[in-house]
Amino acid sequence: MAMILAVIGVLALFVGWAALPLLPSLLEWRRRTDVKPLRVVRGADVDIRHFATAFQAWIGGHLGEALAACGAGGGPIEGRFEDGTPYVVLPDDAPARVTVPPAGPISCPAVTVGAGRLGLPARALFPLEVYGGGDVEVGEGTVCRAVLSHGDLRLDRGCWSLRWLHARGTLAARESCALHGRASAERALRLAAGCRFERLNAPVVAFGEPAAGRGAPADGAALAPWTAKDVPGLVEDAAGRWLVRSGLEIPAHRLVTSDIVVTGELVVGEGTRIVGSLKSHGDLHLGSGVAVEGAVVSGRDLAIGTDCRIGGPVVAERDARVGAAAELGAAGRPTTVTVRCLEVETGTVTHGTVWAHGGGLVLPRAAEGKA
Amino acid sequence: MANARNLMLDAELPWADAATRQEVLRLRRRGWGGGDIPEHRALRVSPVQREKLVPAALLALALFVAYLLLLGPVARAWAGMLETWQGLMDIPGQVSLVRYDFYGLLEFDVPFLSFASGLPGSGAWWWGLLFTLALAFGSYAVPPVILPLRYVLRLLAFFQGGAQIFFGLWPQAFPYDGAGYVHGMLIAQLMLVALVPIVLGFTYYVLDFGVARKALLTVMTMLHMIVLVPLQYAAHAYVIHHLSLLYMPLMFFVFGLTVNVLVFVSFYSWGVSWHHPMRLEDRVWARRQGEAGGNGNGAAGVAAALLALLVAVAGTAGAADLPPLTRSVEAGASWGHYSNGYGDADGQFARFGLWREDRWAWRFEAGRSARFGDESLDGGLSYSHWFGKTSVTAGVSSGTGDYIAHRYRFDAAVSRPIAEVVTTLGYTRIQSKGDNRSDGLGLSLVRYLPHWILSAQGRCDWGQPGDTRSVSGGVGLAYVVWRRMSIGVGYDAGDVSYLLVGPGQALVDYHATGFNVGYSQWFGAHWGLNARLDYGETPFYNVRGAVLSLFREW
Repeated sequence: MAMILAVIGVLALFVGWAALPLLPSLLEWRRRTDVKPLRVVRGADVDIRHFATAFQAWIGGHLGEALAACGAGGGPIEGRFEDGTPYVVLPDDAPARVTVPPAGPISCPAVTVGAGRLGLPARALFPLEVYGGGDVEVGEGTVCRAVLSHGDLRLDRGCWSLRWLHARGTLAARESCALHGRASAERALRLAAGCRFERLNAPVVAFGEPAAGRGAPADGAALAPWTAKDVPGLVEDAAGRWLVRSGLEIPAHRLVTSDIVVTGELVVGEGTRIVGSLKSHGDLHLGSGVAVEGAVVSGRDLAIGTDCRIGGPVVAERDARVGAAAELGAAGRPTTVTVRCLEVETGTVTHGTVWAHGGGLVLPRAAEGKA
Repeated sequence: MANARNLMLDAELPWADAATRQEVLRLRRRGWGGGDIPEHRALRVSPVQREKLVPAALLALALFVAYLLLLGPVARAWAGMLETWQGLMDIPGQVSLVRYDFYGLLEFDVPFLSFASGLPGSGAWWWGLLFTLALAFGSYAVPPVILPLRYVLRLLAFFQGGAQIFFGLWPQAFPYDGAGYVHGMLIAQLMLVALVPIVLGFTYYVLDFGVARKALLTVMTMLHMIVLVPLQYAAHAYVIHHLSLLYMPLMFFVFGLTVNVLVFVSFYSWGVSWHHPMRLEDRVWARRQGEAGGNGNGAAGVAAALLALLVAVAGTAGAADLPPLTRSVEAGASWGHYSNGYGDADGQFARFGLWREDRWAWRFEAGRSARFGDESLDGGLSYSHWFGKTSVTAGVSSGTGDYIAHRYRFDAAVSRPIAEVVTTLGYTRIQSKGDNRSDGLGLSLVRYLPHWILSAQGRCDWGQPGDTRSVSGGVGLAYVVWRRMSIGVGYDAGDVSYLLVGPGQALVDYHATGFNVGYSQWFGAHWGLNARLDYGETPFYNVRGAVLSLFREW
């Protein structure tokens, strides 16, 4: 009997010892602690205006009366929110309140709320939100955490925004501004050369002044058709799509009426028109004057030449450069540009959203840069 | 074209000074309530930090080499354990060591467990078939709620079915015997344990965990396997010896290396679930939301109740709350000289501490010591837990060698401040490598004053055989500048009494005194040096010694 117990004991010890490393997994299985879905505030991710909308509602709920009093001709009102954060409500066109420390930048330690037009001084730091009931003018080199303008929002040279900007009208940033986070406008958004950005949204996003003599895309009827039989390395031609192994170079001034998927690099010659979408697993180059009615997707880098037109989404897994006078999306047909880093020359216009995850930079158009 | 650099950080600010720029960049990540805005967990990646690759590679190499150097003791330990399990399960046979030479580079021993194993008889085969059918058809009775068990049973049936077919048709063609199989598997397992630091080096060390955690996970996995393997193959030997070779394929395919790989994967998966810098923000967020648990492996706390080995890391893994986790490492060497021709002494040691102030503390120590013509490798482990102001400590230590190290030493103590004097009552059990053992009670009093620490202690040990009694005590005084320096002196005196057991028994009873001077110096916020001089007198010899060590705490 003792022997049987000993054998059972040793076998049980073996099973127990072998199963011991599973204990944390078994306990997690029985008493789950890491099963909550990832915290995603859907509105915050999907709607670029999420913060602006929330801030607007919050201001209305907390400072509605103060805003009304100031708007009716009253003087500035100062106070603190429930959590102790100070605020100042200013009447129309009143100067923002700032403090001048013995060292470091002048700054405003309060949420600044303007009942009407609001001007922020130059070279100042606004670490808390700014609200303007009318137009908001931000002085040169000023850094703001976030600004909501009920009218137009204008940033002078070298301004920074740290979290978000939103204008009910137009948002215009002069040279060398840095728009961290989100910047959006209800009507139009214009960034001058040297501006840096991350996520933009407006019906019209203009980089520099729109090109005056924007060349119209070539008429398809004037172009020579480029058909499947012309495609080297064609693997499949089905469902309106060409699948091409390795790289592909489409000659200039051709008309292509198919979607194209290329496993290597894709080069489209100038003036060519694509009635469909393009996707490459390698780099993708569009020559000047290329028109793509659908989407452009690159698995690596993407180069878009001058005067190009792209109707659908523009996606690059890595970095992209957009030449001058290009147009991405169209009025009434907003699209999305999403890349890692983006360099875009002045004169280009996009419609909808531009998202440069690693940052974007507005460059003077090549000719200007040389000049 | 732009590249992967963050274009935003190149933007110029109107203020040129670095401090203002840093503050502005910090404001980018500050939320409305003043807290930091974490990057979403779904977007974070564990960066491969190049500066950590070299230490990680060195750690993997060091653990690999250390294991190779310890192959001899591991093989002897396996032989001892196999002997123990063999005796308990009454497997006739004996254990010996077989020497191997790896291309002249490395010589090592592997245990050989000799036992009889035979081909299955007709009855055994039919019983095996019934067993196989029971597994196969029994799987259908397993309720869907534990569906995976169905497939485990079918897997067992698959392998056993294959063995049934083979032994039913060509039993004489089976080329293996039980003892040779176990020996071969022990060789494979010896190598598998050696691969643990290498595999973890490629798969775990590249993750952003601290070096201590990486080392701990590796050592735990290796130690677990070292204990598991003799138990595992003693069980295999029992099955094969009593149930015939018919079950060897099942043992090999299902309960052999598969189990050890499962163990490795289990430890690995536990290790990667430990709290990680990437998940720090999630914990902060969870606390702000008033949530309990989540985002981390909370299993460790319960594991603590089951096994001290796992608890060691459980404390590490579950350390989500304040006070902060503190670690320390100390490495040093000692020298000594005994008069009257007793020779010199020397030793080297490494200590690792892991604690949360006033919550819990782990201390590990490993070292080597040599004196009186003997040499030992020593190891010790202790754990302290605080219950309010009262702390409880338990520790064990042991060493190799013939006589200078204990077979084991066990300490338990309770400590609590009484009238501003930290009073500790302790119990010690010492079992020597011979027949001597002792049980002792000790009392220590420590008074902390600004910059001064006064201490006094006394103890009484009762030894067996011989029913001896040893009484000793000491006092100490230290001057301390917190985390800067300390200097202290101590004096100890007492009796040493034990019965020397041998061909002729003799009572050893003498008086010993000792003095020591200790000095600690911090050279920075996290590291420093300890030095200590000792002098002792006994009727047989005088001893002079010194200990020097470097420590780091973070």
